[in-house]
Amino acid sequence: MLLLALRNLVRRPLRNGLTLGGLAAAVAILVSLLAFERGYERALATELNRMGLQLMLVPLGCPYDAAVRVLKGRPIENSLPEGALAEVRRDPAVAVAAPLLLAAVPRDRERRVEMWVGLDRAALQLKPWWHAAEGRDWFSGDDSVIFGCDAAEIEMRSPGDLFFSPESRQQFRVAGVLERSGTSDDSLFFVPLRTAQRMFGATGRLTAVAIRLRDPSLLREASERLQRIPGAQVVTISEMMGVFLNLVGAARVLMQALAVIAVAVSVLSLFNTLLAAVVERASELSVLRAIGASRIQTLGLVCLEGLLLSVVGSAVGILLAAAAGGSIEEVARQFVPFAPPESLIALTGSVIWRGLALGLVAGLAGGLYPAWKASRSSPAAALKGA
Amino acid sequence: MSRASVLGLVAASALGGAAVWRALLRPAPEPVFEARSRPPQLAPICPWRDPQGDLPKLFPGASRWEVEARVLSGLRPEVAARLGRTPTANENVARVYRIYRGDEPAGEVMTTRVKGTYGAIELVVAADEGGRLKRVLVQRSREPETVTEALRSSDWSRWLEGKRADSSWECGDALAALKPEAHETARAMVEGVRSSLVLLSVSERAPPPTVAQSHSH
Repeated sequence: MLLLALRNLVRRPLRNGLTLGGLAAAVAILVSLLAFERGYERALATELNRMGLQLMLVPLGCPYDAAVRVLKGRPIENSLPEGALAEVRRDPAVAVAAPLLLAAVPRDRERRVEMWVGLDRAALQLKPWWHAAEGRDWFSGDDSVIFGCDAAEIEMRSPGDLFFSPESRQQFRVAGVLERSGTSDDSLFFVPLRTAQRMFGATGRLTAVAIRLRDPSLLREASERLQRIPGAQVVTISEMMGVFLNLVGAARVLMQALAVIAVAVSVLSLFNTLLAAVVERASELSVLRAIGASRIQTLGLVCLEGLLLSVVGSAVGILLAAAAGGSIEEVARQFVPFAPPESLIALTGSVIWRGLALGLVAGLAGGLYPAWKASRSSPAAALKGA
Repeated sequence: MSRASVLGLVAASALGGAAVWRALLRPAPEPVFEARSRPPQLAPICPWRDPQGDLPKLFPGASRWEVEARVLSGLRPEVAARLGRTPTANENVARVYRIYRGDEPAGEVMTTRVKGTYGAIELVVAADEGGRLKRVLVQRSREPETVTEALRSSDWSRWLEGKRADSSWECGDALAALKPEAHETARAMVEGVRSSLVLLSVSERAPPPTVAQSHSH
């Protein structure tokens, strides 16, 4: 019966190929969405956990926007008074408080923005990936600079080289180049906090303070106390993660609705293809019945054709999703509010099984009516024709 | 089999599918496949940042240009011999901007990034059809003003103009006319321009190039 079903499918290669393509596209869309959902959540959790920080003190304004900008190494308009750092460090629940000053230097002709980060040694406790690939892993003086690996490649700098900031007219000596971390740090220039404050006219100001607590269970009471610091607000990492997932979730629901419509269209297309095949082969099916095929066998034959189409379509769809994963990730990175450096597309076994299950259900749903129609073929019609 | 039983079967298969779907909705094990979009390990290719603005300065009257990727991997020994050093990975392909006045070729442009004293310098190197240097523009530099001014001086530009890949590149006398703080950067510039002309010259014998893009001015 399998051979007969395969032969029937091969008889109309264009029509069946188009149906198969439609189903493959629908499965690919759905599988990509599911893989993105899994991948993004996992990558976000990994990235935030890896930093080992639970809180971030940012200036008044939208706290989530501020926190995202700090995590991505982008500047924010407002700033905190440096006095806030001392208050944070005085809090008994705080283990590490790392001040940061971020500044952007737009280079319009080059169509890029140069990012400078001022930090002190406390930041190293929150950056486990901070290791020098060349030179030193900390500043040798106020006029020294450490490069992220991409920044060093672009500027062609090595430890000991000079480096000049035309905007602030400051000359630096390169202390080190960091190992590739896969984070936004790879493209940044790091200088001592005081130097950054002087360079960018922000003496006594900070962009944010990243905080790790002695005990994560102290989160609520510590946030309440830190929230009272004038001109500052606290964002917890778990709040941030929830906000990111909600933002992505809203878009995801819309995309899933589109994917469901795509699947529904592919089911209708499968239904149409199989029904057309049954109508075309009405006399053949009657002959089959006349030479002894039962109603169940005729029904099974058409069902099998539907299942074959759907299984192949689903497999092609999953392969398409795997092949297009890199491109989808590139596009998705531009739209998600905080894209961790980890892979955003995780094609797990469960996602693959769900893609195949969807294809099978589509095959059954689209194939049953045509199969029933085929099973109603009358042997008498064949005899009349003869 | 009645119509009702077929509809029943359709409904049952949909429900079964939903049940399987739900059962599979549990914490994910290790991924079978992960998309990777890591940044490249190589320094990015030096772009031509403002072709519309630079073209009138380099080739007045030019109407269009095409970007060609000339693969030099097969000519690597010759490239190494003429450069006098091991070619970098980026020098396996010459990205050449072929300039036209109407349908007539007017010359070629290459961009290169060289190591200046205070940061990377991006050069736009223009050569005529005979491979002679027409002009060099500095499209990006971090050098202090004193160095930048020295490199823009007419004496220095004149010394460079008209050179070919196989010309003498001894720049001792020309350097002597520049301020001492500009010497290191000037040497890097000379080496960058010479390398570009060598790559242009060798790339004439490369396999037929791929025209990546065509632009009008």
